[in-house]
Amino acid sequence: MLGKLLKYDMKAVFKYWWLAALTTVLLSVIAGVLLSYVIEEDAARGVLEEAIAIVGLVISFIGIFVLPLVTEVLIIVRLYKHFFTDEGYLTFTLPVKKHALLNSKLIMAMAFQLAAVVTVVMDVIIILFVGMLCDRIKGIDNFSSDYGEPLFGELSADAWGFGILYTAEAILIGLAYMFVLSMVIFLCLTIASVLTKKHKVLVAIGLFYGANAISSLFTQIAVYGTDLNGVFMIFDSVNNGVSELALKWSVAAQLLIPLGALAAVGAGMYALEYYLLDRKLDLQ
Amino acid sequence: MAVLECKNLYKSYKSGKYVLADMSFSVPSGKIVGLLGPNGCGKSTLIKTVAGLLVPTKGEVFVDGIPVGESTKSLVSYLPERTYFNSWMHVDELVSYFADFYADFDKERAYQLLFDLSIDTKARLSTLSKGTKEKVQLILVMSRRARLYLLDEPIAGVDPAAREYILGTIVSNYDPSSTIMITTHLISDVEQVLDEFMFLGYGGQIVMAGGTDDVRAETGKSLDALFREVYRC
Repeated sequence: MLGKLLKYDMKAVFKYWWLAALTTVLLSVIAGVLLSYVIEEDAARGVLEEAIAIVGLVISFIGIFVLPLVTEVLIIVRLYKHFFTDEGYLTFTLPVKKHALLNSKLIMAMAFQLAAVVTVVMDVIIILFVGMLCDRIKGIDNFSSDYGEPLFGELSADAWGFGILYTAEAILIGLAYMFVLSMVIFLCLTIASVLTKKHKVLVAIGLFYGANAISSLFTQIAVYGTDLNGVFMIFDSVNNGVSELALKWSVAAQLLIPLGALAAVGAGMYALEYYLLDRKLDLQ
Repeated sequence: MAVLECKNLYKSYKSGKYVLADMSFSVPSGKIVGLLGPNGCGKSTLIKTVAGLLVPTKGEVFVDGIPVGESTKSLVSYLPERTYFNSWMHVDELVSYFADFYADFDKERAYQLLFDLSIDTKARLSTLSKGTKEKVQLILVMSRRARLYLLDEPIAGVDPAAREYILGTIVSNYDPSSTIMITTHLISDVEQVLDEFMFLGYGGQIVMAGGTDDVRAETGKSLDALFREVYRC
């Protein structure tokens, strides 16, 4: 049943999402052309032309980086309509477990969040590629020397070193963050629907910003309170030198502690969400 | 065995006031039962509780001897009082949706009923009129081979001609081993198809219940007339 639920959830969001994603791809092509034009040093152009190009560039960049936000809005709309409006009468009378309903929404949310990040990364690559292509057509290499070579040169030089390690770390922490973010959104909407009959979305937004403020506070405390580098510096000073084992533990701890913390927080929120849906939500 | 059984059922919302209070009854299979009462007496609350949409405050509800929960949802076919389908879906997508999730859904019967009513299966739900949407909902709900059908105001929003068709559909499509519970204010329209009735009063209790034929035989009144007498303002 999870597969069937997922099919309808993915279809409902993809129906609008692909349009937003395609728009960002088109904007990245425009941004690449405009960027190449703006950084061309010897070009003869007026102030107005340059201003239009810069404004166009800024708009293109905003359009591209707004995709994750559009994705979140689509996820919220799907969850809200499917669970907390009249559609909930159908959703909650389907012969499926509530875990399946929740898991389907969670997988859908994480899949689209990931797709949005991948699209934005692709868009950046397209901007660089189009920029370099424009340079080549014009017979100059401003773009390649200013942006392309430093970036790609650095990446290729460090491709099999710490770059891979930190990329893997970023992906894992990113996935755990997406899980927590999805659960925060779900929980805010569910609590709002349990607490109020009207203005559920407004209450959910308030709860979301409240949760954000609290989580920022805890993150700050966690960062300053468990300064691992500081711990290992003390460890190193005792041992008069950097132990290889200590360095490995330090790197592992930098990955595992935030990963574990995010997973634990996400799991706790999942349990609370399930309890609210199962025992407290009354569709009136 | 009773298809539906409620034991000392209580339900209150946030106000703390009981909408259903100490309600106990059972409904055998093969009956069409009218759940009748004035606005706000708890008819929809009872239906939703049986459908598993509301959590009882106290008491127990059984469908086919199984406590209401995830396992009873495959036994119950529920029609809410409002449009509850995703409006961007096409009619044939909704048929596929029901076929995907309900093992007891009869796709051929659904298409036959849609054809009988000349409903365009390629049409998007948002383009249909309110009455047609309600017909589509009823067709999908009645195309299941469920043990218990819960129909909340199935004829409230449709014209008299369509009402007749809908009631005919309900009667002709239900399996005699199953039970139908209907809530409505249009008692005179449904009276002809009801085997039994339950009058609910404010405070969430059963005021009167019995067989519709018995009422006519004993009092010489129609159910509609009896309703007006019981709930006279």
